[in-house]
Order: sequence, then C-alpha cells, then structure tokens
Amino acid sequence: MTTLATGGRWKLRRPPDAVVLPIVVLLLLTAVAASIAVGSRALTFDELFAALTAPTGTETDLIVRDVRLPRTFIGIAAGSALAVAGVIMQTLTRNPLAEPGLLGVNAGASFAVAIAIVVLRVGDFGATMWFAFLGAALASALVAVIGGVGRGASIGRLTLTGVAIGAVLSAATAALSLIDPHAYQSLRLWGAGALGGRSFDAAVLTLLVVAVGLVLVVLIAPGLGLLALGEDTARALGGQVGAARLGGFLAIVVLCGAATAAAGPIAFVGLLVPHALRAVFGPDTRRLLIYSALAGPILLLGADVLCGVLIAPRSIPVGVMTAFLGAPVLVALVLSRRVQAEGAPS
Amino acid sequence: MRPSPRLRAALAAAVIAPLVLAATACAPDADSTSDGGAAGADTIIVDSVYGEVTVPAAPERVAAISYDTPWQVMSLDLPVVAAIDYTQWIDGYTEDQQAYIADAAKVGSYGEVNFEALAGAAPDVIVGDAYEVDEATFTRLSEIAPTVIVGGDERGDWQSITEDLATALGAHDTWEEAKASYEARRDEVKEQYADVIAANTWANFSLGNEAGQFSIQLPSGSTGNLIVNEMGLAYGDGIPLDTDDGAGYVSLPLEQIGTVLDGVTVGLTYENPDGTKMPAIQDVIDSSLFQQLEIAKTERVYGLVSNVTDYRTAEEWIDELTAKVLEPLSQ
Repeated sequence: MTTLATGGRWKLRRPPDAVVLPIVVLLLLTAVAASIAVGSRALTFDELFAALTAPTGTETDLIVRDVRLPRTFIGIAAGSALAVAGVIMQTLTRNPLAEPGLLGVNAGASFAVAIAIVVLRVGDFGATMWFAFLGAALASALVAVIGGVGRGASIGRLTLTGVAIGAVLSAATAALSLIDPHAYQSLRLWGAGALGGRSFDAAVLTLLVVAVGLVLVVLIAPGLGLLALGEDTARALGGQVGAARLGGFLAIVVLCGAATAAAGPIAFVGLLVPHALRAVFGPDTRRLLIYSALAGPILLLGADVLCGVLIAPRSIPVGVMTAFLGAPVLVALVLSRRVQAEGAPS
Repeated sequence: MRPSPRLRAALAAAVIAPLVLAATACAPDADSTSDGGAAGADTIIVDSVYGEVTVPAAPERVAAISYDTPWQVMSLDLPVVAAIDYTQWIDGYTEDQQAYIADAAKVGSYGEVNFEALAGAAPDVIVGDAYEVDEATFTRLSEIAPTVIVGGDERGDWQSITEDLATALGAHDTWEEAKASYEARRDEVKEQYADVIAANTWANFSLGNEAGQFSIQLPSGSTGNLIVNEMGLAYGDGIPLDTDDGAGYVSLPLEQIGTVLDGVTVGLTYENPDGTKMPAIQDVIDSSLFQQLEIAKTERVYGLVSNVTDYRTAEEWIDELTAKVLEPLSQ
C-alpha cells in the first residue's frame, strides 16, 4: 500500500490487481508448499517428490499423502471459507466484528457434534463432520428465522439473536461435555481447532463443499457489493437486497459449516483477513472476496506450519496460533486506522 | 467410562497449575510424630506439600477429594466419608471400588470441591493430591478439617504418594503389606517372564492432545513408572524418556509415530472394561502410519483396563499384563 501527499492530506493509492494478484498467488503457493514440505519429520526433496508423484507405500509416502496432504487441503478449504464468510458476514451485518461465531455457526456445529458423541455415540470423524455441518446450518437457520424475518427485522436484531443462540448452544454443549467425560474428551480434541487427523477423503470432501460455497459467492457477489453501500442505496440502485441477503446467508452456512466441521472452531481468520485486506484494498467487496479466498489459506497454512516448528516435535493447536497471530495484527490495524483518522500518514 | 490417565492428566493440567509443587513436596515424616504438646496425645504432626499439619492419629472420617485419592485410601483399607462425584465414570470401576464409594458423600466434581458439601460430611481429616489442590484451596479446606496434600516427586510417583497418605492416616502397616505383596508379585512375574521381558521393547501409547496426534507415557507417568522402573520393561530407542512439563506423558504429531515406535515389539494402550478402545485411540491405531509399524503387523498391540494409582492397582495391572500379554507371548 502506498500513500500520496495531496494538498497537505494523505490519500491512499490502491495497488493494482496486476501487481498484487500474482504476489498473493505466489504467497499461497509458497504456503501450500511449506505445508506439505515442513513437518515434525524432516523429509528430503526427493522423498517429497516421490511421495507426490510415485508413492510406493513407504513411511515417508504415508506421511506426505495421509498426513500432510489432508492437512494442507483442509487448510486451503477452511482458510478460504472462513475468510470469505467473514467478508460476507461483515457486509451483511454491517458489523466490523462479525465472524463465523456471530451467527451461531460455531456453537451450532459444536452442539451437534456433542449430540452425536453423547447421545448417538458416534465416534467416527467422518460422521461427526456431517453433524457439525448440519448443526451449523440449523443454528444459522434458527438465527435467521428468529432474528432476520418478520416485522422489526434488522441487522442488529439478527446479530443479537446470533449471539444469544450461540451462547445458549455453547452452554448446552458445555453441559453435555460435563455430563459425559467421553464427550468431553472428543469435544476437547475437536474444539481445539486443528487441521490434522482428517482423512484424505474428508479433506477432499471439505474442498468440494467449500468450492460449492465459493461458486455461490461468485453468483451473489454483485448483490453483496451493492449491499455494502447500505440497504437503501442498494435498493435505489436496483439491487435485489433480499436475494443477496439470502444468498449471502446460504453461503455463510455452507462455508462456515464445512470449515468448522473439518477443522473445528478456528478463531480470527474470518475476522482478521477481511480487515487486513480492507486496509490494503479499501471497501471494494469484489476484491475483498477474491483476495480473502486466497489470503485465508495463506494465514491458516502459515499458522499451521508455525505450530509444527515452534516447539517441534510437539505442536500447538492451530486455533491457538491464529489467535496469537491475529490479535496483535488486529490491534495494529485498529491503531493504524486511528492514526489515519487523526490525519497522520499511514 | 472412567477417563484414562491421559484424560486425567489433561484435566489436571487444565484445572491446576503448579507442577512445581511436586518439587517442593516432602513426605510426611514419621519421625515428626508427636505424642503430646499442643496437638495432644491422639494427634500426630505430619509434613505435607503445604507444610506441617496436625492430624488425628487414627482418623475415622476421611475425605478424599482428589481423583485418585479414594482408591489410594482404599488400598490402605480405610473407608472414606466423602469423595468427588464419580457417577459419570462409575461403569469404569470394579464392583469393589463402586461399593467402596457408594455411601460416601459427593463433594464436588473433578478439580472443583464443593466446600459446603464437604463440611457437611464432617471429616476429621481431608486428603488430596497437589496436582489438583493448590495452596489457596488447601487453606479453605483446612478451615473444614486438618488437610494433608501429598505430591510425591512427580505425577506418576504413586509409591511416595501412597506412603505419604499412609503415614498421614496412620495406616503405614497396611501400606507396607500392600507394598510387600506387590513387590513379591512383581519380582515373581519378572523372573517367570524374564525371557519375554528381555526379548522385547515396549511402549505405552494413547490418544494425543489434539486430533492427528498420539501420546506416549513417560517413566514419570503412573503407568510409565510401573513399566520402566518397576517391571524393567525396556522402552524403544525412539521413545522420549522425560520432558520438563511434569505431565507424565508427551503428545506428538502422528508423523512422528514411526520414529518414536521404531523397533518397539510390544505396544500397550488403554481400553475400556468392555474391551473397546476410546475413539481417539482407535483413530491412532487405524492410521496408515501406525498400521505399517511392526507391532501392528504382528498384532502385538494390547489394551489394558487397569489404572495404576497405588500398590494394589499396580499389582492388578501386573496381573492383567501377565494374563493378556506376557503369558501369550511366552507361548
């Protein structure tokens, strides 16, 4: 990002896509490569190459194909989904603090997983993924029905409903986990937020579901762009506000449901990435969506790589690392915006 | 289902902080026994983690408020009048254990003592583990009854912990008997199955701290202590022998499993009384990386139900090991 002095005031110059897009794509490819190459076991380039191109079932092949590739796929899918969903949520709710937890998505997913484990005794991760997805969708739908329709519907009401239902579901999940230590243990593993421990099939499935969600986002992007200007302005410009809101809501459910189901509740990606990109690109919703889809995985995969190397051979849950990385960056962004607001150069 | 030692270690880590307390713990000193003075003839003074405590010489109403403590008191042939609520794990306990705590007052949940309920049980002594009872809690407990908090040298030091409890509860003779019985059984099994023990390298693994990880019991853990120090089972070369976090286990990424368990010929893990394994443990076993290990190919992975907290349960663990592992391997 660069600035120009114009008449004693500093004005932001947005970097062109032709310059930024290749850089972001290169960063994403680097993050993907690092995610596959870096782990608690040091592998040579030849071992990595052989595992990816001509696996023969050796231990290194298994590490790459059964551990690192699924991690990387989950990281790409969850990173994109959470970041894009963050943009949509902040646009729809016009709330800068909106993130996947706001509409009860995480709480719904957690509660459904708790039900699956405690009541139905489902232990298989693939099955709990579907429960998490269903829970996220149902909780979001409940929030929409209570807070987003009928007389008096407003963004504020939607947000408050999301917070309230999320709190109730979180409490119910905590109660279930306390009732049954078996559930506590399983939920503890799921709730830490992690990219590892998922099968190749689950990772591919997550990628596919997120891809469907991103296609939906592409379809509603023009409407979201208008909504970002405010509902009245969007209507005045001929925008289909209702359709955009419904499409946005569906996209959130699909994206957050898939990400949360696959990786557990991961904080800050959906909050930090849109804010960081907004600082670079401004409020252009279309660009925010595109770059969020690319930058989300960069953050998540980068955090995951750091988790694996900082205290190797042990590791830190990626949900913890994103919070560690995200909070200071967010504070820095807030401070820099205050400086800008005070007229100082950025 | 009773939580595994791994789960309890994780719970303990979440609930209590100062592992360093273990380092400051010191055994109750039989020599410090007092037969009079301010304490009176029917009391003794014992050292505990948080200092000297005057307790009844022959307590009749013992409250055991840490997770393993009731079973450690049980091994001393003393009843307990209060313990935490074990309802949710009760199916994982033996009938004797269930009967032992059936009439005990429920005085809170794991890591969270219900002080009012505890006072209502009118104990004449309270005992607990320093890994679950911090000094502030000890102070509050001491207002209800004399409180002895034991710690041992490390999390899995059940030998010292039970000896300290025995001293504090005036049951040292019983402890000595349990210890002698255990040692006799240990030595008998070690001698009988010396060839099997020497011919194999061992590991005790379980679920990890997060998905995609597994854990290895260290010699500083309760079962690891039994395996390595007591039974003399040699861990594999890749297994870390200690860490500095005091948890008694280490959780590692799954891709380390080949490195850590390389050369291990017998794998031990935990299983439920019904023979099933916790899903997270089963996930580790089902992973392709585990399946390429020698112990998977030779089907030398054994689940043990017994949970080691004292000499008696350690003896039960050895009996189970003998029946399920050593005897079949000796054929």
